[in-house]
Parts: sequence; C-alpha cells; structure tokens
Amino acid sequence: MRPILVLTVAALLSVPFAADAKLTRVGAPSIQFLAVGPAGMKINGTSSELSADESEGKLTVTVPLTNLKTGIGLRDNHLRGYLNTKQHPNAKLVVERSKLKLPEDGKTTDGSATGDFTLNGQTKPLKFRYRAKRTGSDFHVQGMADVNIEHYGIEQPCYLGVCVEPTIKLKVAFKLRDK
Amino acid sequence: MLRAWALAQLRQIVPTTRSAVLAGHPTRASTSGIAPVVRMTALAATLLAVWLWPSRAEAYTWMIRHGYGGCTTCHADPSGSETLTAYGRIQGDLLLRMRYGKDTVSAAASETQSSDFDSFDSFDAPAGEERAKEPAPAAAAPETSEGASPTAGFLWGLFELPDWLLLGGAYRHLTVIEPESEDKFATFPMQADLYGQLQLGPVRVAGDIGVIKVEPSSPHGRAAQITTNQGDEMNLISRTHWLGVDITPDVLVRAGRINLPFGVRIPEHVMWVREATRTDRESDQQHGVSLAFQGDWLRGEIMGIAGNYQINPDRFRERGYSLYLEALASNWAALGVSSLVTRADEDRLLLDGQGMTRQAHGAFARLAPLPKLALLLEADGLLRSRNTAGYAAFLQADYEVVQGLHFMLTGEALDEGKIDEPGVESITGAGKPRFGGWASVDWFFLPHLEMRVDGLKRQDEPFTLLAQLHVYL
Repeated sequence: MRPILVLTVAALLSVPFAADAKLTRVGAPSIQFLAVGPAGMKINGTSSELSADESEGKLTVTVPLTNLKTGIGLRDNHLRGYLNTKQHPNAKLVVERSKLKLPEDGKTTDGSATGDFTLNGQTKPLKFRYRAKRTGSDFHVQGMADVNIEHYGIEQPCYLGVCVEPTIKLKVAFKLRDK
Repeated sequence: MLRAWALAQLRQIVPTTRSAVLAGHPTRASTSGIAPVVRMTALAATLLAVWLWPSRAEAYTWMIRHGYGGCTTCHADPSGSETLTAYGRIQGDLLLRMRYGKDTVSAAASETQSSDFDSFDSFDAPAGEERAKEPAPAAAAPETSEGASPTAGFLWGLFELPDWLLLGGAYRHLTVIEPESEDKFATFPMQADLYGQLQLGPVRVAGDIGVIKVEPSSPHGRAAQITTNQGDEMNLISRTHWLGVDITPDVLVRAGRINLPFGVRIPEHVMWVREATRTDRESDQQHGVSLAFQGDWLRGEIMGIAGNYQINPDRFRERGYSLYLEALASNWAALGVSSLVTRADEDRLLLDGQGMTRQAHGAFARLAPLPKLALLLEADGLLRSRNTAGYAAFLQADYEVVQGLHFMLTGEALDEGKIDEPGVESITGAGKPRFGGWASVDWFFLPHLEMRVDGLKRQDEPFTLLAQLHVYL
C-alpha cells in the first residue's frame, strides 16, 4: 500500500528562554499524524524520534522520517517512498525564538507562530499552534499544524483506487530543558 | 390459546440446533394446511436450527480498530459483506490473517496509536515521560521489497482480474456437537456461493449464486431459493442481485435483492438481534430500492422494501422500509440507529392466516477502546401485530491476541413479546427475557482460510459446540 501521508511536523514549539540559555530536548517525544481517506478511513501515524537544538536565536526541530508507523507495515514502506526518504530522510522546522511566547514557571501558554518547514527537500512557511507549560527549567510543549503535502512536491498517495486527502494533521509533544 | 400452549411446549418439544437441521419436519408453507402444533414446532425448530450458519465472514465490523470506519473501501456492498474490492483483498492479507516468521508488511509489523487532533492533550498525561530512552539515530528503516502476499488475489492470485470485475466465493463446512443430545455429532456443508460485481463507469451489476440443501421446515435458505425442489433436495439460491448506479463517489442507488440495512452487520446470522429482526445476510434479503451514502463521518442506507419475490404466494411478501444511520464519533467509536417496518398479508413463519406488521427500532455501536479489542453492541425494540412489545440485544467483545487469532465473548438477550390476548402467560423468550452466551475462537490461519469454534449456551437449550471451516476465493 502506498504511503499515506506523513508529516512529521517536528516541533511546533519553541520555548524562548533566557538569552544565554540553551534548550535541549529531554524525555521521549511523541509525533503523531492523521491522514483521512474515503468512507471514514483514518490513518493514525506515529513516531518517537525527534531532535531539537537552539542556535543563533533559532530553534530547529528535526524529525527522521524513516521510522514512521502507520499501522500497516506495507503502508509504512510506501510512505517512505512517497516522502522520498532516501534523498530527504528528515523533516525540519526552524522557528525564530523571538516569535514564541514563554510561560512563567507553573504557567501554561497558548500561542501560534510561523516557521520554515522543510519536507521533501522543499521549504515553505508553516503556521502552527502550540501550548507550553513550564515546570522549573523544563518546558512541556505540544504543537499542532495542518500540512498539505502536495505543496511540498509530494504526490497524493493512492493505492488500488483508495486515495487519502493531501492535507494531514500533525501533532507533536516533547519536553525541552533549559541548560 | 393454542399458539400460547405451543410456545409453552417449546422447551420440551423443540429440537436442538443440530437435530432441528437433521430431523424431518413437515414442509412449511409457502404451501398450506399444517396443523398449528406442527407449525409451532417447526417455528421453534427454525429458531434454533441453523442449517446455514454464519453465511459470511467477509464483513468484519471490528475493522474500525484499524481505522476503517466505513465499508466501501473494502466491499462492493456499501454496507459491507460479500464481494471484496481489490483494496479489500489486500487488507484481508495485511490485517486479517495470521503471519508466520519474519513480517514487515502486516498490521502486526506497525503498531500505532490514535489521538485527538482537534485539541491539545492534558499535560498531566504521562505520554512520553516514562519512556526516557533517547531516540535512535536517524537510521533508515529496514528496506524490504516484500509486499502483500501474491495469494491475496482472487483464487489465491491464480489470475488477475480486470479493474471492472470483482469476483469471489465462499465455502463453509460446519460440524455440530451436542454432548447432551441423543445425536451428538453432525457435519455438513453449510455454504457454497459464488459472487461478483461488474462495473462499467458509474453502473454496477452485482450478485451471487449458490447451492443449498435444507430441511423442509428450516427458516433458512428457502427465502433465497431460485429453484423450487422440494423436500430434502438441492436448490440454487441467490441471496443478492442488484443493479446500481454511483450517483456520486459517495452515493450509490441500487435496485434488486439487497441485504437489509439494519444494525451491526455480523457474520453470526443466528444471533438473536439478526434472527428476531429478520435482517441477517443468510436469506433475509429483500427486493427493493436502496440509497446508500458514505461520508467522512456519517454513513447510512435506506431501503424501500418491495417484497421477496423468491417466495410465493404474494401474501407472504413483506413490504416497507429498512434503514440505518451511523456516525463516527471518534477514531475508535461509531454509533448508529436502525429502523424497520414491514407489512405482509400473512407472516411466512407464523402461517396464521392473519396480516402482520413488524417493526424493529434500535441502536448499535462499534467500539475499539483498545488496540486489540473491539466491542460490538446492538439493542432493538420489537413490535409485532397481536404481540406485546419485545426486544433483542447483544454485546460482543473481540480480542485479537495476535494478528489472525481472535477470542470472542458474546452475550445476548431476547424477549420477542407474548401473544397479546387474555390468559396468555409469559414464558422465557416470549414475555420474559431469555439469555444466551457464546465463547468463540476465530483463527484466520492462512490466506483465504478461516477456522472458527463457537461454544454456545442459550437458556433452555443444551450446550452446542460449532466448528466451522471457511474458505473464500
């Protein structure tokens, strides 16, 4: 089965910090995506790989695309083909730290921002929503976005006459620590 | 009063499942003139007998566990069952059957989880916190050229069908064991059908044909007969045959003999919710016109019933409507309602010479609360001429311990209501609730092959063990 959709939305979050602070991802991240097909068909995909680092005022979140799971092994294989993971194994989101709101300790902040999202070797602006909660030096972050994969040069996935919508929903969650 | 007496005698005189199949009973009538007691005995036998056990196992409403909320991606019938699409055949290989050895293509090789994509999760949820392991480097996943098995296709992939043609078939062999009965063992072929669909543009022509051999008094099979050989002889049957037009990709209009759109489409056609509502896929189909639609989160079908023109005379033909509507409440829950009203000048099972209006109205649900667990529920109210109100309900839990091996527990309840006349007493199942339980193992052990064992115990019936081998083409 051809791949359905994959988006890995890497991070939709970012957590502005003290100027000298460096954010480092800790704990286990969660990346999920939803692709919708005909007749109520829903493909829930997941990954648990994500890296994040901060440099020169920008937060970069990278998600490998080679181990995405869609619920069917053959579909995972097709997905890698659609995403062209041999040439472009990662998806990446780069966000200006200054565009993100930072919650105070014990508080939760909601917001939205736009970053540069790279998929299939193509980079385009991507608007996302995020929610961040701070506990001491840790920032628990969740983010969501909709991505139209056709905008990134990815063909609409179809298999034996069953196609999925090119717009998929992404959801990520991870934790950053100020070090 | 005689009918009430006959009902009261049911528990003593009614044959058990298998013996009802094997014993000779006077021919029911699509003919005439049978003593009431004999007719009631036959009625009781038919309620228990299952010459044709689950007609199909190709409609698996628990597929919602794999993200398939509707049926049209895998089935030609918009409400599921019978003919598989090319996509459906592949799903049968990837999702249904047991895998042996190295596997990189099936559902077992790729487990995921569902989430709510419309809102953020609570930060109190432990997601990710307990898994402190650092992610592996971005290494490529194992490359494989393995795909779906070449045996997934029609006749195990013997030849490839053109895009406009779908073909299928099924054979089922049933063995019945009743330790408490005098005749403890019987084995016989239960189903032998061929089916298919031809599609030219938006126009579809579909149907099935098979052979059957049933006891004269059996309520099963005869309603779908094409030939009219009497007694203990073989007959040709056609359960469904219809002409359809895809008005849009999501809307199909059909005319012909069609599975009644009602309730959960389960393979166990003798489950009370199917028997009492007469909405199974074994032979309860009717001729009529239906409109089926399938949206992203809402689907349904409504059918105008013109009668079953494979039975005679016309006074036995029921006319009315049947419908269901189902909504995908979430990734793992589908909730629906059903309604049916029919009218016949005489009921073909009761044979009492009086007009009969039947109604069934209820609700159902398909739930997948855990990755390996599916729950099917249905409850229907029953209304019938000259009877008090009744109900039928069931709850089935299906746990797939490993891909291809299912353990199921089912509970069911039935009260068909009693004759609404003074002095008629309630008995179990007619005025009083009747309960039953099933314990089942269903094993899809090879491509196109299934084995199933059911232990069935219903109130006032002996324990019955059913073993079935199913081969589908």
